[in-house]
Formats: sequence, C-alpha cells, structure tokens
Amino acid sequence: MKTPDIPENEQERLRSLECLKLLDTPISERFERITRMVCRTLNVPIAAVSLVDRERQWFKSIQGLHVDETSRDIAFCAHAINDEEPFVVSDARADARFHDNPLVTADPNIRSYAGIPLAVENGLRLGTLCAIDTSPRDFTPEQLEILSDLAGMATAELMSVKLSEAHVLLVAELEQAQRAALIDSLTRLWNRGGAELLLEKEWEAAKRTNTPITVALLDIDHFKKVNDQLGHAAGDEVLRGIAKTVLQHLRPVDTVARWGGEEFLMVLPDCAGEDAAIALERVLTYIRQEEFNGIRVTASIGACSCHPTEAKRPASIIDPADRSLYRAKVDGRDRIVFDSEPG
Amino acid sequence: MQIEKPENELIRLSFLRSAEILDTPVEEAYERVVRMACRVLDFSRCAITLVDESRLWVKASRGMHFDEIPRDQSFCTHAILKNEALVVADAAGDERFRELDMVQGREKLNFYVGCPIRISPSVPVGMLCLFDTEARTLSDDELAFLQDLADTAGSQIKSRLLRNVYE
Repeated sequence: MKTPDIPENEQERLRSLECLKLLDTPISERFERITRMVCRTLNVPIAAVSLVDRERQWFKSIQGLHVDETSRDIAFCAHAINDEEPFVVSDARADARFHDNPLVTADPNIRSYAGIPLAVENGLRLGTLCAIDTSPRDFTPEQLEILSDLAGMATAELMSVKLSEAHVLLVAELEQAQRAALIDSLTRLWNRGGAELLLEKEWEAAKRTNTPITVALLDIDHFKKVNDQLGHAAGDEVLRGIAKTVLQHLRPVDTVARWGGEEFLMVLPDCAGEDAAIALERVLTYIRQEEFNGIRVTASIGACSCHPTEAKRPASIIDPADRSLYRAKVDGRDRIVFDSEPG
Repeated sequence: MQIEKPENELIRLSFLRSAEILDTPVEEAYERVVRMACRVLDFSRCAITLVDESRLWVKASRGMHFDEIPRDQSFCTHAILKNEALVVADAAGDERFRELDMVQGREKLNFYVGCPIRISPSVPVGMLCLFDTEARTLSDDELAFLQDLADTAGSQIKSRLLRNVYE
C-alpha cells in the first residue's frame, strides 16, 4: 500500500482548514445536498465531502456509509489532494497503491473511486468531493465534468458562512475536541449538550435583537415498535433518516439537534406564529412521505414560541414545548401542538 | 396586462433587490447550475430567471433567446405564485400560456418545467427552468434533482444577500 504524500504547502493548508471551522461540526443541508446529487447523477452508492486533516480525513458529509473519519494514511482523498486534476481509480484491487488498503480488502470494500480536490484560495486543496463504488468501473469524461461542477458548488459552500450567528459563535468558541464531544455520533447533529449551549446562544441573540424564537420537540411515533420488530439497525436508519429529512426542510439558520433516544430539538430563531406553524407542518409532511430504508413513520411535535426577556430562561421554553408534545401524543400522534407564550 | 402577484410580493422584491443580483454579469456559479441541469436531464434550453417587479431577468442560461422579457410574457411569474414546481406539458393548450410570445413565436416552446429558487422557504425570487418544443416527462427523482439544483442557486443568492446586509 502506498501512503499518501504530504503536499508542499501542508502547514498553510492546515491553517486554512482550521480557519474554516468546519471540522467536527454537525451535518448541514448545503453539503448533504451536494453528496446526494453525486449519488444520483453518477449512480454511486457512496459519496462524500472529505476534509483532509493532519492525521485523518473527516467527512463533512457522507452518503451511503456511516463513518465520521478514517486515518489519513489509508484515505484515497489524501492522494487526491496532491494534484489539481481529478483522481480516479477504476479498480482498486488491481492498483498497486491500493490493493491491500483495508478500505478495499474489508468493509466498505471500495473498488472504484473518483475524487475532485476542493481548492480554496492560493491553490490550497483542503479535501475532496468524491464518488465511490463497490464494483470496478470507469468514470466517463462526462461524469467527471459533472463531478467537477458539483465540486465547484462544494467549494463555494466551503467559502460562505450561512449558519446563524449563534451557531458560528458557538463553533468558534469551542476547541475542536470540545466540539466533537457535543456531536451525536449516530445522526451527526448536535447532541443534547450541544443543543443546550446553542439554545443559550440563540436566546441571547433573540434578546439582543428583540425577535421571537420558536422551540420544538419532535418525537418519532411508535419508535419502540420499530426497534422491537425490526431491530436496532433498522431503528438507527430511521433516526439518521429523520435527522437528514428535518435538516433538509428547515432554513439554514434553524438548528435541529438530537435531544434524546428518539427525540429531536428544533430551534427556529426569529420565527413565531404562522411562520413557525408552516415550517413545522412542512417537516411533518415530508416525514410522512418519506421511506426510511423501506420503513414509514410519523412524528409528533410539541412547540412553543416566545419573546425572550430578562426574566425568562431558555428552560422556560422547553417545558411548555414538552407539555405540548405530550398533548400531541395523547391527541393521536402525527401532529403538532403549539403552546402560547409561557406565563 | 394585470399580473397576479404572490402575497409576499413586497418582501420578495425587497430581498431580490438587496441581493444585488439583477443586471449583473455572467457568473460561473450560476452557469454551472444551468450546465448541470442541461447535461443531467438532457435539455438544450435552461435558464435561471429572476422575477422582478415588471420584468423577468435571466441570470444564466443555455439555448435561450432572451436576457429579459416583460413579466407578463413569462411562465415563471405564474410558477412563483404557488412556490412549488410547475410542469406545463402543453403550453399551446393552456389558456394561461398559449398567448406567450415564446409559445406562439418562432421558437414554439411548448414544454416548461421549473423549480422555485428560494432565498428562504417562503420567498421565491425566481425559477430554475427547462424548456422544450415537445412534451417531456420527468420522474419524481429528476424533479427532486432539479429542485436540489434550484436550492443550490438559492443558497448562493442568499449568501450574497447576507453579505450585502452585514457589510
């Protein structure tokens, strides 16, 4: 196996990567969309936005494989960043550089690969957008052009800051290691700890700007049945699928976090009343329509909107949302119940 | 001609203006979206359109014969009313569109499919649309792909808006 070369501008490259503050962050729709498009247009089971860090490659987005990162020395993407041209491997087993690579000889059994480096300014290649197949194949020039265009979109997204100010501040304040501890490993959303910190920040921002905030708790209906009847692997797929679906249909400034076993927290800044109702109804509609690995589920939502003031604490908005969720379950599930401004 | 406008027309126009994207030169980010749509869905006519107060302005296109037309001459002004995808299988047989220049005229564009380009979920500023002279069918998957592309364009326009607002 050939270990990847280290690029000449490695120090500068790592600094640039650090500045982006993207490593060890939750998944975001703007990258999910791109990897989804890779799978669809190139007809591959696995696609990823990979960022090549000092000792590892970390996936900002990955479809078809449930892995957060791998070590750098076995990463195909670490080879890809050494040149500006597309890096293509038609049959990894027949390639002297990769035939004994553990990613090839065992799960996920990579057989073919096409990666386009993602270059920010000064030709610093931070990672790749890649398509991976489990059978050998050639990628046509047309397919490589499509992949290059999608890589262009991914690069544009790397460069633009779209998240809510609170989210950006939170990510900037935490050290990488701290961030990693606040992310749920199954869904790659903020976990409860991360969600609490984020809610504090959104609360402060809402107070400062005198805008309303809506908090909603989403609980998957009859989830225990899914686990009992179909097994935990199936249940995990549903959880991941719900996470991605909710993310896809909220605004970029909204946050969805994993709050509990089958419970998610959504924070919608500068949103209340009719707007909040429409946004949450849309989420439920898409969940109803979606099949998660052949499984259909519904969800119940309890929501609460309010204008944060000095007198109230963020916890005071979660309790009413929780009570509303209970109400939604009791009333028959697969619905939203709103609480009004807590007293 | 009286044009039916969406309820949030004032906010819509305000966002569109703040994005400072009207009357700007060709940009690769948008050309790329048009190129992908044509290539993957196999159309030779595609446009990213922005619906302004009284005109339709084209930000990026392929195989189209105009950069700007009066608003009431477009499919897109109708498409943004419902803020969802619009498929017109036979424009000449549709009373909303049969009088349009591009349907009646030399080009005879009889088929239209467009997905809204949104700055935020309820604010469509324009459409990503594909045209043909004959009827075409798009699968649900293909329509979802077109919407993903439209969302990419929307994402870029929103970035622009935020940059302008914060600077």
